[in-house]
Amino acid sequence: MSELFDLVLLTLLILTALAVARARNLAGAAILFSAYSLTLCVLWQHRGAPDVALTEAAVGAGVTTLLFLVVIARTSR
Amino acid sequence: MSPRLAAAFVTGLALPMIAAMAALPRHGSPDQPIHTHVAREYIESGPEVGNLVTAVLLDYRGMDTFGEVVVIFAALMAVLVLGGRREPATAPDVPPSPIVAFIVRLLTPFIALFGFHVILTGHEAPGGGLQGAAVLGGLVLLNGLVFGPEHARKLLPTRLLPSLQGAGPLAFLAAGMVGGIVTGFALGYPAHLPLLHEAMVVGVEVGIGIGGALIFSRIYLALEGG
Repeated sequence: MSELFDLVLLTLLILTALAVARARNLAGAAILFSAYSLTLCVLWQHRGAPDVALTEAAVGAGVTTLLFLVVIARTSR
Repeated sequence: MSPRLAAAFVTGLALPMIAAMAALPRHGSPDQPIHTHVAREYIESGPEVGNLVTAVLLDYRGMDTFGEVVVIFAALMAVLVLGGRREPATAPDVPPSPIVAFIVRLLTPFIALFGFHVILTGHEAPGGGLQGAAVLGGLVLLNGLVFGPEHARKLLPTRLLPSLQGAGPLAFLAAGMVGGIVTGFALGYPAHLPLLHEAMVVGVEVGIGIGGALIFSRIYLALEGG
């Protein structure tokens, strides 16, 4: 069961990574990247690394995404 | 580089890596060296800090963590030297959706509380200075993105901002010097003085947390022309 959960998350991780690479819209890619980080965060937590999971959620899904969005908003006009 | 060449290159890199991964001991297997020697050593003779990850980060690898804190500070210096937009940005061109504005206003105090909680309990529970800093910095960025950079600036301590930005490296340096005086080793933690030990760890975490949050916010404001 635990292995199956990991497998589902890893599949989702690869799918979101491919979606980021294929996204045409930059803002959409940033949001998809945030989804990638959140998936990875759940995976870390499930693998017993809560410290890394917290960092992934706060830095990967939070600050990085917001910085990407700010930069996209400032450059694409 | 042609796509076919790139694909061949990536495959050539990936195959040995996957082969090496397959040869690694199974995840969580109790007879791999990290569980028979390294982890036991840390757990048995580790310092008196509740969260072992924090103990490793601040104690065994204190110098590494100090370097990382300096790197974050250096990133801010680099952004400030390069300079942001010349004309300062004002309020967003499009007013925020009332739903988004309401949710952000509603969540701001709770996110701030969670950020401070993560910073202050980092030595006992998962979390720590950098994680809390990212939560608090993300909060400032979120407010700036929704309400405009001027609103985000109001959340920051204007007068103390320049001196507090270096709080991370300074707190680390102070703890390292106190440790040096008490134990004879720079960045050493006095195991025989639990109260001082706790104060040093919490002081470092608070320094990294507050300083890091302001660094994240300041990088954002620099991008916005502040």
